[in-house]
Amino acid sequence: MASTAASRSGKRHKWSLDFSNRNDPSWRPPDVASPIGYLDKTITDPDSRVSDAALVAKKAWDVATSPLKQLPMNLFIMWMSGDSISIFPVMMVGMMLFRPIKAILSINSITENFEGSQVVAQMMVYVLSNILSLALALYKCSSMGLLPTTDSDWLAFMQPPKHLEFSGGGYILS
Amino acid sequence: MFLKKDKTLSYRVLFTYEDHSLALLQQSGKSFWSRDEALAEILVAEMVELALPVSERLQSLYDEVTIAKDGVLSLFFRRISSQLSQLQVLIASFKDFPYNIWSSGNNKKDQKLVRDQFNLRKMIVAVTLSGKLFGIDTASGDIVWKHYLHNLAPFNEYGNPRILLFEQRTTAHYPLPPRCIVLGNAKNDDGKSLIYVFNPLTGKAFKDSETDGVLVDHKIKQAMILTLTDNHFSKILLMVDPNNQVFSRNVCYLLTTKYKSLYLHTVNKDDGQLNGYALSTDARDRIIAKNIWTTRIPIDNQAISLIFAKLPNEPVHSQGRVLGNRSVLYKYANPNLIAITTESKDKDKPIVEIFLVDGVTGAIVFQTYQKNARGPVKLVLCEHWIVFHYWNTKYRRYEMAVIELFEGQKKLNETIFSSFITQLNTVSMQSYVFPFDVITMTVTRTEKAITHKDILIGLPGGEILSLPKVLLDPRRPFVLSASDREEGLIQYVPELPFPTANVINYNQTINGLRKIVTAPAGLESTSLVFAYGLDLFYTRVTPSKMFDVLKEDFDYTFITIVLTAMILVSLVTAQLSSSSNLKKLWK
Repeated sequence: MASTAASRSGKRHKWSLDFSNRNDPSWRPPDVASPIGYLDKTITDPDSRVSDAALVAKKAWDVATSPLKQLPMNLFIMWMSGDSISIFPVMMVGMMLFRPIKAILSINSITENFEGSQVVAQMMVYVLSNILSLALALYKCSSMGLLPTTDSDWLAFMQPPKHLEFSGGGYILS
Repeated sequence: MFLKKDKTLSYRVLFTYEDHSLALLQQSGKSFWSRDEALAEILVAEMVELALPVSERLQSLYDEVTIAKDGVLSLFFRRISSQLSQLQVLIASFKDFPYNIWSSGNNKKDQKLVRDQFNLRKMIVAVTLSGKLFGIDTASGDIVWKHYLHNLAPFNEYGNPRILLFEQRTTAHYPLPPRCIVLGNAKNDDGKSLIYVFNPLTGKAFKDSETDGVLVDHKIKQAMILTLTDNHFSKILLMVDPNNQVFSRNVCYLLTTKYKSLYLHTVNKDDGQLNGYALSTDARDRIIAKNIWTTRIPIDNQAISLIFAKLPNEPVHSQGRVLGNRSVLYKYANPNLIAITTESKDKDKPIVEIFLVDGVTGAIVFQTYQKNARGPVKLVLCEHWIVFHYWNTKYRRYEMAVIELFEGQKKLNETIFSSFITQLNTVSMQSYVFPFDVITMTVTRTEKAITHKDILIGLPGGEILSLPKVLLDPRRPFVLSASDREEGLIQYVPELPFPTANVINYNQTINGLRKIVTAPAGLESTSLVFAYGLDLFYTRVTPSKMFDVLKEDFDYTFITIVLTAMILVSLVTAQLSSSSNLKKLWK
């Protein structure tokens, strides 16, 4: 047989039989029907669906509070980027400004798999934590001097005052 | 007397004329040369804008605006035709693109006296002691026109001759020509004054009968030009005679309604009295100047040496000064402020006093004195600051001091400025050592006052030094802090630097310099400077460098090529990407 001829080269067991197909490249599994009652797919445990609601709620809370978790990291990034107006701090501040705004605007797509009784609370928490990140970014803006809060920012828009009286003259001429 | 070629006796005579010109004539009457020496005695000079080049486009625009509407269809056709001619002119102008603005004076084909693109070329109108008027072209310095007024004599301002020259109408109102007025005493008629109204671009009088000026039957005590205009856009000139009667050549109805906001002031040097007048009507409904206030400056042991008033309609661009801590100090820019300097007559205790009087209310807004200081004091008053120069007798050096007036950190009323309401709050002063004596000082002027101001100082050696005003800043601290650096302050050093690179007349000395006149140009960064005395000198100054003009070798071709290449590349790649997407979908 072909298998004994192949095992002779192994030299260990003269009379062993090897039914594996690893040395035959043209071998394909035979096309026979599977036995009766055999299903070729995995079956989930129906008992696990009971705790799914709790799991979904837990996942929803995780998503809702994720901006809060990013807050300390944002704080650190803000402190590192510095107060001067150059490309890196401005980029960081811009990113931190737009991320909460985009998150709030796309709230529908993020919270579409929220279910259960606490959906409204979760959405509120999500929005609030995003607003908190936005407030942090604005505070950073104001410490860089970008917010127009002082008089000097509106000086350029001040119109010259209208003069009510006009005067002229000089030394008495003779 | 000399021998001619054919051995006959001949003579040449040197003539001095009444209008201060010299001529050398030969026996036959031929003149060898003539010189206008009157230009060495210019009393007052002003720079006047030239007219726009009259083209078909201007004429057609004017016609469109003024001709009465006679049918929609004809108006429409006229509009189309004028726009077609404008298009032709535009295409023709592309042939000169890009052209160099500095060649406006050297361009040979540009001999006509018209305004150039940036309004840098002006006409200097000068009135001299002899009564001769000159019109000088700033591009080349040529005398464009001269006119001699036989009867004109200057006013006597306590020993100084003075002639008043006012610009009544500019060239902005096409087709009305510009208008200037000269006021002086009548030489041959005692007790009368002379008014000459003329076109500053040609020197000719407006009415042919008035080529020698019009005699006015009274002496003029003071004159004031208003910003109100009559229906021909001429500013109204008010003249006051010694009886406080107010006269005007072009009284209009506006004057009768707006006279309540007009005030006049006169200063009497002999008794130190300042009189303020308000215009009002008397019993016979004529306009008179009613004396409403009198301020007396004590002249027991001091004499008034100088008064300085601001020019009318001087623009102030920013309303305050931004400090380093982002707060604002609002400027006290009173347009009616008069600065009066007095010098003490006492030789042992020389004191210079400066009074700032409001011309409308007569209140002494601010008063300061400098001990051990002697004149002659030179002073410049502009916007909200004053710079003055004097001799310090104790330390035997010349000093320059600056006073800045502020309204405080809050502005009481942001929309109006009234001498009765707005108050002075803070005054900052500082003085520096200046190494030279000063003959005259003036400040550069620009159209919108956005550029930094340079103080032009005429030195006795015949140089004009242009000092930036940031050096003369009373807030300059001894120790610079971070917020001071942000504000842009320079550390206080007692000596004012003399950067020889800032002398605007490089190596050309102006002999006998007497006065410097500045005028705004069309470009915001440029100010025109005309200095006169024995010599005349004219130049352009750019205190903040030329920030509003592209540099001369700007790469127009490179930028246009890059732009068109980018546009083409973006179009082509958009096309390619959409076609490749389509092919992928079909696979």
